[in-house]
Amino acid sequence: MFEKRKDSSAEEPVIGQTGKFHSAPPPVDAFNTRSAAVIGSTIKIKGEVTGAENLVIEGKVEGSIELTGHDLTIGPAGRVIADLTAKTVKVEGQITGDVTGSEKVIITRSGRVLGNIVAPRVTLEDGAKFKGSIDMDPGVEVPAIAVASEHSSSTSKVDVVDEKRTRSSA
Amino acid sequence: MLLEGIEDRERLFVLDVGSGSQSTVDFFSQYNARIHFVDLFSNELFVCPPEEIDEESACLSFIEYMGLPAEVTFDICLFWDALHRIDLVVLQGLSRALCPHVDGRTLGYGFGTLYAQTLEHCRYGICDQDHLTVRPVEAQGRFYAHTQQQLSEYFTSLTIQRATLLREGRLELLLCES
Repeated sequence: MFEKRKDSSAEEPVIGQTGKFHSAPPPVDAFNTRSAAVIGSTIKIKGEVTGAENLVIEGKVEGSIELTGHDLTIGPAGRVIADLTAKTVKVEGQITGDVTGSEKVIITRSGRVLGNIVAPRVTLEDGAKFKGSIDMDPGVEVPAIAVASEHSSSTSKVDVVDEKRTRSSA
Repeated sequence: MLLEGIEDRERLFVLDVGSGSQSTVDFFSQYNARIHFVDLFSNELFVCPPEEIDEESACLSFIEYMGLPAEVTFDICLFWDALHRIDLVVLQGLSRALCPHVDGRTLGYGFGTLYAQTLEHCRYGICDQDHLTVRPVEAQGRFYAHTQQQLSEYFTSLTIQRATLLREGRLELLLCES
């Protein structure tokens, strides 16, 4: 579904929200960290975060986050207490708040979300923790079936060893 | 039968008493749907209730834990094996908590037991109109072998409309409004 491309530009210094220079942390497997701003693991922000570029959060943010048309990644160490909006949202850390993705939302196996999700496509990787609702955004034209994650089941993956299909008569 | 005619609905509200399944999300992404995932098994109060718990306090705990918007009425409730993972008092509390969220068009789905002493605790999902995905869960937890009569008596927000006997004494239950 998402190619985990190694992006050489991710190693280059980028300017974080604090105005300081950061090196993009190598452990973050951001799905689109090209030219992404980084909120580093020691940074705490309280307030409103807005922007017109991709963002990776490894620190703590409380308030609201709005990145319309851009990608947001909550890294494994990221802790967010906020309602957030972006084009795509990838959660590897923890979010308490509502998440809106105009394109898609991905909760990885290490991700924890306590809140509601609105997006046309949502991926819950095996092991992801989620409590809330998922709203298949009625305002967006939805593809026939969202592509499943590599750990999820789909009609083409019925032979996965630890998962079986069972016929329902109801 | 559970999913018959859902394509005709303008908006679908689904309750999944589970921790979230990719296949269920994928399935309902074809529709204009909102799925509420409520994982009872991550809350000790429900799976290992204190002795002094009563229906009223169980109901209030469910209301608080589920956090369902007051205006939501579910079209589909997916209970999977949850009705057999909680004791009868807690089951009564769940039933009462769900009452405001079901109506005449609500259908429920779950598993029961005719004579089986246990049901393997699994993570379930909807694969397509005719198939489920089933993935065993490591932590099996406690199993309550409620009879169909007990379910009817204690879980009154929905009633069993049809029970289909499966292998090993398991039942597939279709529920509708009482």
